[in-house]
Amino acid sequence: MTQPPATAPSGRDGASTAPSDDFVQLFTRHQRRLYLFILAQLGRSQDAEEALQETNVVMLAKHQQFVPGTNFFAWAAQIAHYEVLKSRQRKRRDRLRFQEEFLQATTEDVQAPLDDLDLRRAALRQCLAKLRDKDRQLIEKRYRPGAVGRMEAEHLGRPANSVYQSIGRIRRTLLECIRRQLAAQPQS
Amino acid sequence: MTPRDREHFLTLLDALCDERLDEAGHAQLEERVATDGEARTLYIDYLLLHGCLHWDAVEGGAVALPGTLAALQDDSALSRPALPAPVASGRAPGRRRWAFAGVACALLAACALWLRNGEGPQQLAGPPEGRPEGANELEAPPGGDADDDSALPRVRLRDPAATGIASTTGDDPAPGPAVPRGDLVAFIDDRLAAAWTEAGVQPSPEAADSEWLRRVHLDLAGRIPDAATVEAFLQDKNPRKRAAVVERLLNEPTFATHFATVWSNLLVGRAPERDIDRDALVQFLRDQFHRNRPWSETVGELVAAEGADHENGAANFLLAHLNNEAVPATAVTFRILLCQQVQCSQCHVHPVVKDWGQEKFWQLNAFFQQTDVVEREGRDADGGSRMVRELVSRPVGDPSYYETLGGVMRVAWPKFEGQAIEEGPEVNRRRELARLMSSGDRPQLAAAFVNRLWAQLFGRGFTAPVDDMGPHNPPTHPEILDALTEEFVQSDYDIRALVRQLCSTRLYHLSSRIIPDNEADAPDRGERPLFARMYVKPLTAEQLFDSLLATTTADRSGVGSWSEVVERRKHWLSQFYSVLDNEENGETSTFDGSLPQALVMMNGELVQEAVSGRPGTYLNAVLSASVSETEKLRRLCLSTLSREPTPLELAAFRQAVRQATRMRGAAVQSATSESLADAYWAYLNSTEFLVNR
Repeated sequence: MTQPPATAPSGRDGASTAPSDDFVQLFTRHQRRLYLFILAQLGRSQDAEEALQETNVVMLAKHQQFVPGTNFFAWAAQIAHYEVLKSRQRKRRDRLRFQEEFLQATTEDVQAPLDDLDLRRAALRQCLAKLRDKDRQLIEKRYRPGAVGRMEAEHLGRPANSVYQSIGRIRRTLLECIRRQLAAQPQS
Repeated sequence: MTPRDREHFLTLLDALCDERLDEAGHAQLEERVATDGEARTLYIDYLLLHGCLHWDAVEGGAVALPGTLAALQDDSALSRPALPAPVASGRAPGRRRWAFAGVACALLAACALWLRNGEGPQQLAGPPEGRPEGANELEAPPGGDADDDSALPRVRLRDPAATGIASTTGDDPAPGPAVPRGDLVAFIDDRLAAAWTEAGVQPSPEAADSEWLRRVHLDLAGRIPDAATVEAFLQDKNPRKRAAVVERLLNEPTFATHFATVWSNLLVGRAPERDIDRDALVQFLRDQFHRNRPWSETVGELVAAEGADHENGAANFLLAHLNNEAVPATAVTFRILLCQQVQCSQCHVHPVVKDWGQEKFWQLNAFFQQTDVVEREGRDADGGSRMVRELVSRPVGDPSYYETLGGVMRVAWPKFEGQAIEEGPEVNRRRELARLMSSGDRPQLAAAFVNRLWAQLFGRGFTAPVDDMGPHNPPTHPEILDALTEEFVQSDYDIRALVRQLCSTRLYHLSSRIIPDNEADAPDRGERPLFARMYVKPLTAEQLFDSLLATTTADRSGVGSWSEVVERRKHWLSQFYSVLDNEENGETSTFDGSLPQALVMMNGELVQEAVSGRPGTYLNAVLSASVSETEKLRRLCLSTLSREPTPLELAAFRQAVRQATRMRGAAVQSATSESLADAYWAYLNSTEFLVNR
């Protein structure tokens, strides 16, 4: 009676199949990178988060298939890509869904920028510090936990459009700043 | 791309990021990206920027730029998910074990989901039996040492602070308690640090905001914060927000209620069977704590109380213990109020402290030999008749008589720490006792309170056990104990000031997570505590009950008034405690992580009500909110564990939903709701919920 239902996934069979410490560390360390990888393909952060969670489920279930010492991200990205395709299928009716060619192109082109992720984050950090206080506060509000893209403009006491415009302007400032910083870096 | 094209394209990207993109825009954007390499690079750069901002802000748990910056800065904060490195209080676990335990923990949660997802009564009976099985993975102390009955729970917790929460790292731009730091606090920090250096250990990193907020609520309000409080705190960017929370909690009525609960439990126990008006005692204590009356005054009123149980709440302390020649009253006064265990010297000289002879016990006992408990017919609130018990002092008292081991009868007259009192019809012995207990510049009364409060907040006293102070059991940090005692006396026993000081120490803001460099700080193994991290404290029964109400709002769905809630709490507690008929008027408890407690958590009415999703419950509010299922799970996690769910938990949750839809053919909507209820149940039954870290 203490046995779980027969349908229980293999993940809980006990000690022998629990992911190793190393695996969990890799798993955890690559969450951000995977999220960004998926986001580039799906475009919307909520979709990306969902697909990431699905990817995590699969990674945990199949953790034994990962060969230690090999490229973890490459392994994970395969699973993630597959989950992205599945997510697209589920959203067949969604008018806001990218075509498969689009996915292929971005999947390839996002790899190199992701390799520079640490540089990009360092650059972003410096660029955020350079913002005017007012702008930085606005960006913080926009990206506060739980916030969605469609901001409730009344919270800011300004017309929605002007808020969006400001955020767009600040994001572009950050983008140009990051690009300048990356260009100044010696090529890796 | 012409500058105009570029501008237009960026507008599309903005709309995409802010979720305002319409169908036409979407098509344009897609076409651009697919056909134009430059646009594709721009798209990727922009999305990575957007994604990093999104991820790091969410991860930081704080909008505050320092948080965002720190998240970006710190490479260990590489991801939002918590590394499942547990808070371990067991025996020298290796890192491998921690990680494994973390996974096991998630798997247990998942397992619990599946078990509860079963269809028949067979599966419904699953959790109680399934738990010990899972509990082995979680709780068995490494090395199979099963008889470790340390008061601290044997836990392996997921630690949300392990990564991802920016403020956990030492290089956070605004670390440390942002509370005004007096010299005393600096002195404590300094002495603790000196002991760490001497022992070659390092302190754990600073506690994440979520960890700290849950801790301070449990410590000062006796219950966990609700989800809204957690979110507001995580988003608050005031660098002094922690000090503000301490101040707020100190001034809320819950502070007085919580401390009154703690002290009435100490003074008369929890078991309801005693023949006293326990509520009146609680009311008296609550009033004293609320008005921040000096502790010496409160003790004086307890010791010297006169009058009837319902008229003078303070009288119930002695009404509970004057039986049996006032032997319990003597032992309890020593042990609870003075943290001295002299009950053994009732019959013989203290085995270690030879100065503590039988006379020490009986001379204190003699203070109570002028008092009678008088019973008379009285009226209760509804006008019915009831037996009223009353403390009445006689003009002249008797001595105490005791027998030595050699069989010689001796006589003892009132004497406290060598000081005798005058005898005469004008002298009230217990009032004299109250005076003597708080006289001198370092009365034991003050040191005892400091020791108890230190243990209450930091999980261990300066002595172990906390109520066994004396020359045979030197304190771990005598200079800190002494400085705090001195300050407490000089402040005229100002309890709030003392709490404020302790909450301002660096120690109070440390994480409870064990790091390799402080594994040696292992009081569970009988080592002298070094306080190199916050020790994990098990929740008291009252903290658990009040936290269950706080998170579930199950009270609002079931009963109405506050007094009904109080009654319900009493009833709930009564299943755990019963009186022991011994000379210290002790009691026994099954609230110790044992099976009865586990069953009440897993199958008890309160938890069942909470996960029922009936209108009025918190779960109901979450289920009917129009947010994503991930956000719903997040809210449940915030409200129970005051933190974000880990990716492992999210994965387990999704797997459960999938399981329900695929294997049992349930509709997605109902499968989601059901799985959310199950996840909620699993959170409430997690070890993490049961402890204050």
